[in-house]
Amino acid sequence: MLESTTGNDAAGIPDPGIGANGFEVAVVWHDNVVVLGVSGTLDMVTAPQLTESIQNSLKNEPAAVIVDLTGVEFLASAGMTVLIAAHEQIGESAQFTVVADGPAVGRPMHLVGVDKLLAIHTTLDAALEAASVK
Amino acid sequence: MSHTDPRSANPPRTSGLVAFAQSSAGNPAGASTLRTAFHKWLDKQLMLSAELLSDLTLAVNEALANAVEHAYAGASKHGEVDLHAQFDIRSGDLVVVIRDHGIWRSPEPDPHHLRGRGIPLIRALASASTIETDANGTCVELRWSGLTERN
Repeated sequence: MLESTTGNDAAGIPDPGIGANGFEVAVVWHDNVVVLGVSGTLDMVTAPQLTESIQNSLKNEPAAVIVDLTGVEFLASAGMTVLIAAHEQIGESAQFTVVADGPAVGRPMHLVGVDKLLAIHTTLDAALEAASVK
Repeated sequence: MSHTDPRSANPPRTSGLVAFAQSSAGNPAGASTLRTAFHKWLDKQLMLSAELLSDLTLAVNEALANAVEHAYAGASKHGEVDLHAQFDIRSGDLVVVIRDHGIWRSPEPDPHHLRGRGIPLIRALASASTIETDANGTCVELRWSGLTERN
């Protein structure tokens, strides 16, 4: 298992523009399945960092990419755009799934129909199970 | 004002209104700062469910993001974005106005429909919303009703 993190917290510099919740992406590989555990605020400030984490993961040619938004406390449309772009880019080359639930994350994606464009699970266990079946 | 609200010991409350007004630079960090400040104000002033608190914050965020992306993208200097909110304690009406001073830019072609979820989100999250653009910039007004003061 390979683990690494990128985020503002790692730099140790408080940035008042990010908001109170910070932002972090924890990358964990389960064989050829990569899980990007996102936490904090996913808005137009932090969305480019998630794009970077996804791009770095794709270099290792995963069979499945799971973006786990369970730890996200605020999801803006900029964050949804990153997910749609990743889905479009990955296409048939890997499985792409998102873990999302609740008023701050699941609800906004449902309101604008993003839940119809992406494969969304409400728990990481369900997403991992779906990934291992393929 | 010739009368005083008997419920209130604080002078600002005499009108039965509570207000929020703050400006920031029209860039992503500035928008994030404004959203965070507004979120804290909402949570302090109003009795909201987790869902409604999230909805209001997100709608305001998308209006701020719209101001940053469309009105200031490509501009040599980022202008200011103003956020003003007013809650009428008696009627339960909340009005939020987000104003920028930039020039509206038409969204660029988007064959994969990657962008453009901000306005649909605003429409879905606010009870009522209007977006007006003129030579001075763009003004987004968001309204919610039936809200309760935190006490």
